[in-house]
Order: sequence, then structure tokens, then C-alpha cells
Amino acid sequence: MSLTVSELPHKEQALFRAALKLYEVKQFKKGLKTCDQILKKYSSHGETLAVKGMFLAHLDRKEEAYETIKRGIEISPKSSISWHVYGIVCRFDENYEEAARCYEEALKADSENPTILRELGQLYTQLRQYQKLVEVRSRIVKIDSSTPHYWLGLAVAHQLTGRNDLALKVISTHEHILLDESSPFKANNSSYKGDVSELLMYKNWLMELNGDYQTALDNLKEVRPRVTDVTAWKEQKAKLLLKLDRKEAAASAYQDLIQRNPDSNTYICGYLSCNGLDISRPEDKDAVLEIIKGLQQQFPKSNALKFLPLTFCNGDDFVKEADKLAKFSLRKGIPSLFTSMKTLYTDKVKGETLGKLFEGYSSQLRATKRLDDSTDDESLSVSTWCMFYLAQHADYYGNYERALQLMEAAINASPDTVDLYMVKAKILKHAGDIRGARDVMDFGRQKDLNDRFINTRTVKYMLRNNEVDDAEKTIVLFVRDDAEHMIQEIVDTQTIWYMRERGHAYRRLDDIGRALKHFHQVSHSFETYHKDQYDFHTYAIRKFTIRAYIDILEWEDQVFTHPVYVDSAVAAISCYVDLHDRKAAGSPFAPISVDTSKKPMTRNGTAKSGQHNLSAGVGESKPAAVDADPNGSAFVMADNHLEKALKFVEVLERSVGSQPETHVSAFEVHLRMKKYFLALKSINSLRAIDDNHPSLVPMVVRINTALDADDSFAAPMKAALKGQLTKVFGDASIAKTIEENSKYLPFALAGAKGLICLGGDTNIAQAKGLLVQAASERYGATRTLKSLIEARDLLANVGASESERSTFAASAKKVFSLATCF
Amino acid sequence: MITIRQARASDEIAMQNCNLTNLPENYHMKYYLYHLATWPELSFVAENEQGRVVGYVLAKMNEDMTEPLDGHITSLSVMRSYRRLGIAERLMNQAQRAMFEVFDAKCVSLHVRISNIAAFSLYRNTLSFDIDHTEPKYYADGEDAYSMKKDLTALYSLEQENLDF
Repeated sequence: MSLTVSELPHKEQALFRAALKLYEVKQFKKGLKTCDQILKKYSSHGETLAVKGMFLAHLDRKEEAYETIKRGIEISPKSSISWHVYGIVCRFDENYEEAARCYEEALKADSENPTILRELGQLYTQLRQYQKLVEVRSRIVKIDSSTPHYWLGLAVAHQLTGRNDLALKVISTHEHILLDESSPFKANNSSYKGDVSELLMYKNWLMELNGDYQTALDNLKEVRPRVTDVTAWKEQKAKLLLKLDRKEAAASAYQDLIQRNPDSNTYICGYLSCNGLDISRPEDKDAVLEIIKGLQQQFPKSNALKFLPLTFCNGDDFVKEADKLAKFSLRKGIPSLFTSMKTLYTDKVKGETLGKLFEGYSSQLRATKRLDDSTDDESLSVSTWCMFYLAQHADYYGNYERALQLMEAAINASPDTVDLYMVKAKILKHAGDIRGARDVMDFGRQKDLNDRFINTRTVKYMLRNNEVDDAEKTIVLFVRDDAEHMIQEIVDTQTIWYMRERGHAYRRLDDIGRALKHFHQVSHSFETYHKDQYDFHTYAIRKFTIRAYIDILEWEDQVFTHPVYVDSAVAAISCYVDLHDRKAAGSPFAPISVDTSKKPMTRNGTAKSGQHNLSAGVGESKPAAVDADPNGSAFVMADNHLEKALKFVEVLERSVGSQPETHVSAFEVHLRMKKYFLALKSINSLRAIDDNHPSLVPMVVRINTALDADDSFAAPMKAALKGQLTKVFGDASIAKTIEENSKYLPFALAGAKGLICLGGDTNIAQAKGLLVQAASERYGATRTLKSLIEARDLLANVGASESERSTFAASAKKVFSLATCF
Repeated sequence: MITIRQARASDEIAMQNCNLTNLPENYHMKYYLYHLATWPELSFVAENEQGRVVGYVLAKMNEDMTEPLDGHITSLSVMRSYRRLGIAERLMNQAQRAMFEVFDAKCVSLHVRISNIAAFSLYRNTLSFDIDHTEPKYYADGEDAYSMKKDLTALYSLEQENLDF
């Protein structure tokens, strides 16, 4: 019945109110019973049905819940409570868009309800509908203009729509409520002082954003006594003074900041700008160096100041500064010295200079046990760290044999220094001996079993070597013993690096089901990261930490640009495309089964290679209840692979449209889905980034071929598309583009891949020809390990003969003589 | 070399990764966000020349309202390959001072495994923490922890700001 609650008899009204209270205290079972009491007498009371549905939802009876709520709404379509409840349940299921719609309906019937308005505000923020956010928060403030987090929320909403001026106005109008001597929020409020400070700094920031620098500076002086975030205040002072071109005062402000943190590059560069200097301008070099030396005297321990001169000095100055830092670091035994110096190697001269410098130290130490400024014999470790540096230097230039020789010498001198093994392993990895790398890393790990860092590295190297089981055995050594299920714990703690590496390992093992499972786990973690912000839409405003909150929103907007996500998404797309292609070719991929006859691994047991028993974790006697699909068969057996891939494509196109890989991946999906205009869009987007990208011409040829072959596609549209392609790309031909870029392996590889996709005996033969020659001299330095491995894999997939593959392998081994992968 | 600065939201994934790489005590992303949204001034990161986060300190104020306001170090970790640069010390110094200035903290506390000699030595010798008491079976694997404390009131004083600018 469409009776409103107030039209029910008193007893039922009381029960209804009681039910709502029970919801607030999370007593869902009792609440459900209470609703049933009402329904006994009034079995089709709309609002009660809706509230009952809400309880059902929280008791994990989802289907029933939605049915019951929908029935309730059908009966009382204008009931605010019913829609509100529906909104709550959608929100609970993280279906924010649907929730917002429900709340909007609820608002129609009860437009001044502050709870509905507030919760709708949260939803609008999550959905980034900032204009609507302003509207609802304005309404709340009209109802109640004294509660600080209401008007503060409105100010934030204005800022999010780009109206810093309106945000300021709201704060200026209402701030007295909090700031006055007589403020009701002062008494018994331990966070009052902090809240006031945050509000004042937020307001000052808005002034700055609004361009009112002088006003902001004056305001800054005024509010200092009430500001507790001293660092932010001082940073703001320095920033504003610089913006107002008050260089001397700004310099003194930055000096104050440097005093507090002499390792801040921001402060140091800020100080330099006050002197009108720019570290990247060669003409400023001498002046900058002088200032830095002055600062170094004041702050001799600062690491940032030690390194900075090397970034802008050249010639003799560079040698002098590098010599100073190098000697200091070698004597101190700083393992990351080369990693720091590496950033300088983009300057060829600097790289060579550093090499000579350290070679010099090395020979001097060998001959005299001293360096040119030593007052006594240097300790042996100095020479070890010197060899350590030179090994990494050699590795950087691809001289792997020399690098390994140096590492051997260093290890002989200091066999218990774990850092040496880690870098030796890295060098072996670069050289293409992944098995050797993994062994060395594991050897280093045995030297310090208490250290998770080297455990993590070892696990990664095991996965790179496709040893999924060994990796699992190793990583669980550091998973909490009381975790109910070790593997689930790894997923729960969002160990995204492990999920991603594992996914790639399974991919290489051609276990597409498990690979997809892992890439989806990475994706799921990122979706969780994105959803995590929800509670902060109210929390941060109540805490007044607006500056941090805006920072969180901005990060969340970019969260899917993270390299681990992007890499996993691209890999997932490639898996789905592969599944689709195999199915289309008549040999669909079959999920690799779980071998339940074997006993689960224990920590002391060993796993046979090739057995991928993911369901039970190491040392556990039964599989996790949560792991309903241990071999990813759900992903494999789905009948809409391309649609699944498309979801990832859309996120990538939205987040990382500036990366070429996005459009290369997107094209594969759009083309197979016959969305030719979208495929063209991918081509154009790629071209806008890099008009000589190796994949461009193969993409054009493929779309043309596909269009020609597609009789169902309307002729005029076909002509339009092909016309556009011809206009931009002319008479595109894979052979031609390879010839035009004959020194670059990426073009040969992309061309080969394109030819393989086009199919047919001639194309395949051409592709094979290209791939067998992939390690030819003419490709010079573009023959990276990664590209040669790719060539190897393509040759295997395209059915090359044993002799073709070994011809290639032999030539690849000439380039990477230590590699074990050819 | 390494720059030390306040942690921002965009550092959170890197901090989580650093934590997962180095320590067995791990947290959900939401817990990192909770720190940032509640005590944004207290957490710091160390960034290398390539922009990678190689160390962090995740800090908070004690939420137990019955005790005087103490700062607390939730987690501190520096990648092994970045030792000997005093990064941990620098991170802790920044966090401590912020606790004092922003929240009037009188002291700062933390937990450390009794077997972790390196960490214990850092806190005891380099950073002048004292053992306050031992907490039996504090860690999930049953190991005991030293609860260590450091008095901040002697270290810092509220400075007189020069407002003549």
C-alpha cells in the first residue's frame, strides 16, 4: 500500500522508527525482524518493504534485497525513504551512479533533508560531478549555516569547480563561527587549535590560487599566531615573497627552510631562484656553484647539496666536484653511488669522465693503497666499492663480461656483502642469463634470511625465470604466520608487484587463464585504491584537512596512470586478444587444470616444474575458500573476450592516452570488433604522439585489408575511411617502411608482427625472413635483449623450422654472448 | 643525492610498495590515506634522483584519548640499496619536529622487534630513543617488541617568528 509511515497506526510507526534506529547501530538481524512485524499486519507497506530490503542487503541476501526494495518502490514511488534506502544499498554495493540517481529521487520528495543532501554530496564528489556538488552543498548551508563542515564543504565544492573566488567568499563569510573568541566549537574540543590552523592555511592557499599574492602575504602575517603547521606557513611565506618578486626577503625565507631541511631540492632551488639563478642555465653556472658552496659550508651533511653541483657543472669543475663526492662515498661505503651517478650518464662526456675517474682510483689503490689525498692507507673496502662502481659502469655500457669480472673481484674481496650479489644478479639479467641471475640473487638471500628486501628481489628473479612455485615458497617466508590463507593475504595486502610479475610468468608459460587472473587482481587492487577515497569526502572535511584532501582527489584522478596498472592492463588485453584469436582459429585455449592428486606443497617439499598448483598455498592443507577459480577458467571460458579487453582499453584511453602503447593495444581490440572508426582513431592518436612509430604502417595496412575483406561494412563509410588513410599515409606498405628504417629493429619487428596478423603463406614467409635476421649487424644498438627475445618468441609461434630458429639463436648469441635464452 | 620531503597522496603507492618490499608488517592503501588525511604534516619520503621513493616514514599521533598526546611512528623503512646515507635519521628528524610543532607532542614512541639489532641501534644510538617497556608477542609472528620512547620537549622550542617582512 502506498500509505506513508505517518499514516500507519501508532504502533507500526514506532516499530518503523525503531527499525531505522537499529540500522544506525548495525543491528541488521533485529531490524529485519522488526520490519517483518510491521509486514505481518501490513504486508505490502511500501516503505517497510524498502527498509527490509536494506537489512537484507547487509545480511548478504543481495538478490532478495533488491527485489524487496524494488517492490517497495513500485508501491510507494514517491516515498523519500524508499528511494533513500535504495540509494544506500546501491552505495553499499559501490554502484555510485545508480545510488546518485536514487538519492535524487529521494530528494524530490524531501528536498530539505540534510542527510540525503550530505550523502548525495559524497556521491557527486566520487562521481566528479562538481557542479551538482555545489548545488546540494549550497542547499545544506541554507538550511544550516553554522555547522563548520557544511560551509567548508561548500567552499571545497566551489574550489573543485574552479571558482576559488567563491570558495574564498564562503569561508570569509562563515569563518567567524569557528575563529571567534566566543566560538561554540572551542570548549572541550582538543582538535580546535588544529582545526583553526588548517582552516586558516586553506584560506591562504585559496588566496594564492586566486592570484591575490599581496593579500595572501598580509593574511599570512596576520594568522601566524594561530597556525600550527609551521612548515607549511614558512613554505607559503617563501613562495609568496618570490611570487611578489621580493627576492631578498624570499631568499631569507628559503634559507630558514633549508636550515630546517637541508636535504630538500625544492628549498635549494627556491633559494637559487631568489638570486635570479636557474640551475639549468649554463651562464648561471659559476654563480650557482658559489652559492651552493656557501650552503655546503653551512650544511656539510646535506646529501642533496653534495650531489647538485654534478648536475650542472662541466669540464674541470665537474671533475673536481665528482672527485669530492666519489671519494666521500667510497670511503663511507655507499652502495647507491652508481645509481645516483647514473642520471648523469645521459651526458656522454660525463659518463666517460666518471669512468676514467674511478679507473684512476682503482689503479692508484692497487699500486699505492692510497688515493691522492689520503693521509694513510685506505681501508680495503674502498677498493671493493670502487670495483663495485666500475662493474655497474661497464654494465651500463653493455660490457657484461667486464662487469662480471669486476664483480667477481669485489665479491672475492668481500664475500658477505649482500649488495654485491644483488648487483651481480642484475648484470646477469641484463646479459640474458636469467637463470644465473636468479641463482646469484638467491645465494645473496641466503646470507641474510632476515631481510625481506632481498627476499623480494629473489622472488622477482624467480618469477622472471618462470619459477612460479619456488617464488611462492620464497615469498610466504615473510607472510604473517597467522594469516588464514597465505596467498589470499598477498592479494589482500595489495602486493601488486607480485601479482603483476606472476601474471607475466604465467603468460610466458602460456597459462593464459592464470595470467589473466593475476592481471585482474592488479586491476582490482587499483579499483580498490580508487574506491578508498569515498569515506574521505566527509572525513577530511570534518577534520579540516582540506589541502591534503584535494591532493588525494587529484591523485585518485590519476591513479590508473600508474605503470603497474598500465602494464597489467596492456598484458590483460593481449591475453584476451590471444584467447579470441585462438578460438577464432578453431583451437581455443584450454584452461590448465589443477592437479588435485598431488599433495599440496609444504615449505620443505619441492614442486615439480610445470605444476601450477595455485589453489593451496604452501604449508596449507586445504585450498582457500575464496579461491573458487584457481586456474582462471572463468576468464578463459567467457564468450566475450573482446568486450572484456575493451574495458581495459577504455581505462587506458582515458588515463594514458599520451602513451603509444595504449593505442597499439586499443587498435588490436577495435579492429577485431570491427569498430573501424575507433581503430582509425587509435591510428590517428598514435600518429599524433609519434608520426614515425614502427607500428603505424602495419596498422594501416591491416585496417585496409580488413576493410577490403568486410562485405558487411557500408560502402560509403568504407570509402571515407580508406580515403582518410590514403590521404595521410599514402600508399602504405610494410616492406617499404621497413626498408626506409632499415637500421631499426623495432620496425622489422612491428612489420613482422603485422605480416603475421595478415596471414597467408607469402606474408608469413616474409615475416620469418625478417625475424631470422633480427640479430643482424645492421640493426646495431637497436638489438636490445628484449627485442631479440620478442623475435625469438615470434619465430616459435609462427612455426619456424628448427634450422631457422637455430640460425637466429646463433646470431643472437653473438650479440649477447652470455645469454642463456637463445 | 636523495631529497627528503613531505609525503603526498601520489607517493602512497610507492610507500606501500617500499613497505611490502622491506617489512612483513603491511597495511591497506586506505590506512595510508587515513594517515595522510588526518596528520598530513607528519609523513615524509626520501626520493632518489630518478624520482623513485626509496624510503618513507609513516607517522601519526596517538589516538588513545586517555594518554597525553604522543607522536607515534607507524612504520619506517628505507630500501636496502640506499643505506649509509642517513635517510632514516633524516626522515625521523622531520617527522619528530612536525609532531612537536603541529600537535604539541611531548614525546614520540615506536615499536621495534627485539631481534632487529640494526633498527634498535638506529633508534637507541643515532636517534636517542629509550626503551620504555617490552610488549610480549606484539608482532603477528609472536615476536616481542620493545616499545621505545623519546622526549621531544627538550629538543625543540617554539621559535619566535620574524613577522617583519
